[in-house]
Order: sequence, then structure tokens, then C-alpha cells
Amino acid sequence: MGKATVIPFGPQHPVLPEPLHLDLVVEDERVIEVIPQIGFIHRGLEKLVEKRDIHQFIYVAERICGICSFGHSMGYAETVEDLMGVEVPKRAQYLRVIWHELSRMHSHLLWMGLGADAFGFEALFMHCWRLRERILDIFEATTGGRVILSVVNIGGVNRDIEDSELYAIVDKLEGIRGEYREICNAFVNDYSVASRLVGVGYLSQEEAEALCMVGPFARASNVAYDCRMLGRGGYGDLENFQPILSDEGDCYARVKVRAAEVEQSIDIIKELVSKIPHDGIGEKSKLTPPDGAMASNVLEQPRGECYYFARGNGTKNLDRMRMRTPTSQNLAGMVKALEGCELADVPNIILTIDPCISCCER
Amino acid sequence: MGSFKLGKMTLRSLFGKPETVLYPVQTRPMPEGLKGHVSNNIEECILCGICQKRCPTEAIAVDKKSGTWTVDGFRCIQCGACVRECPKHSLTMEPTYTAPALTKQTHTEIKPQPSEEELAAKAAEREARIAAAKAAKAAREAAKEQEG
Amino acid sequence: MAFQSTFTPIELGDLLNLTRAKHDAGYRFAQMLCAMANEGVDLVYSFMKQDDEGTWQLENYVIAGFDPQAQTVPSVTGYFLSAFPFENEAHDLFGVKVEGNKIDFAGRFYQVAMDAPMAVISPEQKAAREKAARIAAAKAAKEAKAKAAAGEAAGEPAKSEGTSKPAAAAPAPIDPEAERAAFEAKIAGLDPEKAERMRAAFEVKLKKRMEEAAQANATTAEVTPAPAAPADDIEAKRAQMEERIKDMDPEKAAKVRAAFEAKVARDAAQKGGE
Repeated sequence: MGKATVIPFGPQHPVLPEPLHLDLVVEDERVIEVIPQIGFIHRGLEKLVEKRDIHQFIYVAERICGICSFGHSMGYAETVEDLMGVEVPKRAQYLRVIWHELSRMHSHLLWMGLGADAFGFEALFMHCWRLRERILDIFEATTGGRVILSVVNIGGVNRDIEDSELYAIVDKLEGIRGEYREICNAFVNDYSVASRLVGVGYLSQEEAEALCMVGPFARASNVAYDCRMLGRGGYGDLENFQPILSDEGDCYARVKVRAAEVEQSIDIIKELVSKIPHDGIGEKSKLTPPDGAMASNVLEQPRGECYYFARGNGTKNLDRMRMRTPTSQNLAGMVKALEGCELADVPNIILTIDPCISCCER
Repeated sequence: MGSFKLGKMTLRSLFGKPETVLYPVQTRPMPEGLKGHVSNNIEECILCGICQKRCPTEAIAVDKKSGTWTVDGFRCIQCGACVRECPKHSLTMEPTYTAPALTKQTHTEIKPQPSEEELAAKAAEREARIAAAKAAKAAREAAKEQEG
Repeated sequence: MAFQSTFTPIELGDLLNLTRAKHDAGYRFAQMLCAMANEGVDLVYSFMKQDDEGTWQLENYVIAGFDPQAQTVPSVTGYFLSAFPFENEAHDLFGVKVEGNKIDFAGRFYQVAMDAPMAVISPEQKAAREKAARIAAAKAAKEAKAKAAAGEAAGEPAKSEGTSKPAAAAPAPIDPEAERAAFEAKIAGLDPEKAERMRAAFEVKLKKRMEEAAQANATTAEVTPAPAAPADDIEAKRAQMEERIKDMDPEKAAKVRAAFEAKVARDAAQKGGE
């Protein structure tokens, strides 16, 4: 038994895309305790809701996170629509879901690249990001932005996608699927990847449930919860939606769950495109949220369930807007998964949780 | 079991065309509808200031007195709110990005001052309006007196 | 599968019992949040579970008006460890004291420059809240007025046509408070300097209007025919002036009109100053 040493990890570390600080208490090479710390990039975006009106805040909500930017604007808009009782046309709901699933694909591809980089597979990283670029091109062509789309408004969406263009997108995605399978083959079947990830950062289903974890992190521990199951908005019309689960609970399972979710997203887009109605894309709502009304809503972001809360005060500004992002919910799980691991596995475990600290702090 | 799972892809990359372009020499084509920068057709603009009010970043400044419309390209986030809100549709989103610059600068459009003839026409119109109002009033008064 | 979210008010003392019950019933802890209320802080705890019918219930429990200076809130990390980021956040950003947090950072979870930055009620939020209150007050006043008018109307038909006419001709009393409330609602959200200027101008105008209304009340009966609607009464004096100047040429008339307006405003201001 060695002496306990504290190793500070982050906020700037080659493996971390975002500033997260961990105090790792290690004995020899084994981590025995982890104390996470965030708060380096708190921007007070929730406070900004008092200065920007409900329509302007969409653009603020998008900037909470650069990866799930579309999800945040969609979740925010849905919550405020709930608050004011606005009906959104089906086509606008479908388009939102299509963009949201595309952003899930690009987020997962980005994450897979970072993961590959963390376990030292540089070529795989390049290929993942090359593929991600194709999805950004679809965004660019359909919304005019690559990451920040600014396409949602309260009451609908700003831009329509022509049907012919939708079919072209599906064709493009089928092309991506082929190349994606090759990459997946490397992730799922390559022995070097497996030797680095199998059995690392294990969390049982009981632990995952007790720690209230969400997203692919929880689904890799066999927790059957995915907000898309709730059938909100366009998700309600999916024929048969089953969350992708794995009962292995280790880092490798998390990679596999995400890898399968990308293909699932392609299927969802394909299904929605085949039955998209033509009832308009909605108009910007002219209502103001009533005084004291409250609404809460959940949306499945690429990283897991995101909770939104809004309270109106009778003016065009909201009184309070709250986004509880998946990463802050998963922090407890991350601490648990890190306990007892090898020091060299810390980067892999952190990355397979896919922390998004900007989301977490807002 | 086995290794070199990326073999096919690697070989393809080896002999295929590179994914990237030689940036300053070559540029990617800008898709139509790309949100690059805002431009204003000042001829049609009525300097109502709605864009200024709707802008989430306060990047637009409209001065009705001096007839100027100013956008700070470094504050603008290309959300397109102003373009959608413009009542005269004088604002458009151009698919080219603002060029990089060493210092922050704003872009100002000046509403051309109306020419002599236009001023004269406007004045004549005003005269006509006043005359019409006067006539209408006289008629009203007459009606009132009759009533009284 | 459906989704339903509910809000239920609870007392601070019931929090731990509720949390234990939710924990034992297999609920998932969704989140905890703080929101600045008019007095104190509102705490919202959310739990989620799929009920027997397959509906996903998102249950929000609201503790209203928690006083961060005097009270402390017990930690729920004993039941749900995943609450620790939110409780630290509540402490760092809202100044809510949490007792017994399992992973307590004692105010160092968020590296912010000041204590409890989210607890500051910004001028914008204050203005918005006051505006909301004023709108509510104006609405209530309007409803009360409408009720009174309805009562009057109900009582009226008994009187004869001749006697009821002067009553109808008399301008509706200007309720300065209601007017002021409506005006304040209009200017809330403007920057304070401008709002101040506008308020001063408004007060002058209101005074003038009330005087005019009083004068019109006195003069309507003998000089001018009874106007059809009370709204026209405000214009009574102006109408007299218009009568005087109607034969002048328009430029001069405009000048006289301006002078008249200025005089009225000045008088009102003087009276206001006294």
C-alpha cells in the first residue's frame, strides 16, 4: 500500500476538450477518490434571460454549447411554447427532429473522434471528423449555419426544407452510413480499441439507477431511459422506437451504444422524411408568457436528458429559465466510475462520459 | 479478431483526392442561403429601427436624424432576426463572410438625401393634404352649425 | 407513451420526507433549481418516473419564498447523490445554505467573482416584475370600473330620458391612479433616464386633462351640445379654441394652437409645483 498523493488533473489537459478540474487522490497507480470541480467558464446565460426577450433568447440558448446547440434552441422553444400554449405545425416539429438527429450524429461522431484520440488512435480520429464534416455541410446547405443554426423560432422553424432536398439528404446519409460502418468496424472489432476499453470504468445497472444517470452513459449500463421514448413533438410519430442498450456497463459499452445511435438517427430521419406532412412551418408567436406560469420539459440531447424550466412574468421576458444539462446530472456517475480505476484510464473514462462543461455551467 | 480494420479506408485515402482544399488559393463554394453578413438596401430602408430593436446583440444602430444605418460586423452573430423582421424587406443575408480585419470596424449605410424635385413633390403633397383637411373641416363645421 | 409535468407546492419541512418517499418508490431525481421570487428564493425539486399506465410523470415540487438569510435547506444527497452539483450551485449562485451536502465545496464549486451572482435582481427583472404587477393592477382597476359602470347602468333605466342625459354627458371621471398605472406599464423596460422624462411629461398631461375635464364638466351644460361619448369631452376646451381660430389662415392658426397648448401645460405645471 503506497502513500496517497493528490494529482490535479485539468482544467487544461491535452485530453480534455473543455475545462474540468479533477483532484485525483491516488495510491500508487490506483485512483481512490475523485473530487470534480467546474466553474471556470460560467457565463451567466441563465441570468441573461432577463435582458433578452423570449425570441432573442433562442440565440442565447443556442450558444450554451457548440455541439448540442440545436438541441438547446429546440428544447427552449418547446418549453416556451408549452408555457404559452402555442401549437406548432407537424411539419415544423418533424423538421426540428430531423435537424436534432443530424446534430446527434455530428455530436457522436465528434465524440468518437475525441475518444479515438484519447486512446491514441489518431487515424480514426481524422476519419470520424472527416465524416462529421459531411453532416455540417448538410446543416450549411439547409440552414445557412454550420454549428449555430439559428433556425428555430417560438411557434415553428424559420426555414423549410424542400421535399426534394429532404430526399437528397436521405441519400447523402445512406452514403455516410456505408463509410460510417467501416469506421465502426474499427471501433467495435479492432482489438487495440477493445484492449484499451473493455472492463474500464464499470458501472452496474443498480449504481447507474441510484445515481440517476442519463443518456448513453446510463444506457450502456442497461438503464432503459431515453427521452425520445416519451414521444414529444415529432418523436411521437415514430413507428417503433427502442432505446439502444448494453448491459456491459464499461467504456467499451458506451462506445458501442453511441456507435449504434448514429445509425439509429439515420433511420429516424429516413422514417420522418418518408411521412413528413405539408402543413406549414409555423410563424413566430406573438404571445407573451403569462405571469407566474411555469413549464418544465425534457429533451434527449446527444449526451442525455436535458431538463428545461421556464417561468413567465407577464412581460416579453421570462422570469427564470433553467437548463439542467445531462453532464451535471452525470457528474456523480463520473465520480463513481473513476473510483478505483488506473490513473492511465482516467482520460478514457472521462471522455466516454462525454462531458460538456459549457453546457454544465451555462 | 484481427487488425488493420481501417485498411480499405486507408488505402482509399492514400490514392484518393484529399478531403481538404488548399485554403487561401482554393475556397469551398458557398451554398445559397448561407448566413454570411447582413446588408441593407438603403434605398428601400425607411430607418424604422425595428432591426435595431430585435437584434439580440445590439449590433445594429439606426439614426433617423442623420439617416444612417450602421452594422457592427464583429458583434453580429448572423442569426437573421433583423432580416426576418424587416417590414420593407430591405435587409438581406449575403452568403459571404465578413473579411478578417486588424481592427474592429462598423459598416455604415447613409440614406441618400432626397433631391430638389423630390423635396418639392413632397412639399406639394403636404400642401394638398393640408388643403384637403381644411376643406373637410369647413364642411364639418358647416354641418355642425346647421345642426345647431 | 405520454409525458406529463406537474407543479406541486410543498413546505420546506416536508422536503426530506418527500424525497425519501420518492427514493423508495423508485423515482429518478431529475434536478433541483432555484429561482428568485419577489420575496426570497423559490426552490424546485423534480422527480421523474413512468407510472403504471405508461405515462412519464415529471413531478416538480415547489418550495416558495425560501429565505436564504434565515433558513437552511436540508440536503437530499443522502438519498440522491446526483443532487450534489445542484446544491453546490444553489449555494454558490443563489446564496442558499444547504445543510449536510455529501460533496460540499463550501462555495468553491463555481469560480465566480462575487457571492450569489444569480440572487441579484437586475434592474430589467425588477422593471419587468413591476410592469407585471402594474398590468395586473390596471386590469383590476378596469374590471372594478366596468363593474361600477355596469351597476350604474343597471340603476339608470328607472330615471327619465331628460334627467339621465346630463349624467351621460358628464365626462367619465379620470382615475389618476389607474391612468398612472397604465402609463407606468407602458414605460417599464425603457431606460430609467428616458422613463423619468416621460413620467414628468405624463404627470403634466394628466393634470391638464383632469382640469380640462373639470372645466368641461362645468361648461358642457350651457355652452356646447352634449357630446355623444365621454372621450370627446377632453377636447371640449380645445374645440372652443378651434372655433375661435377657424377663420384665420392655417399658419397663424397653428401658432395660436401651439401657444394655447403651451399655456395649458404651463398652468398645469405651475399648479403641480405649488
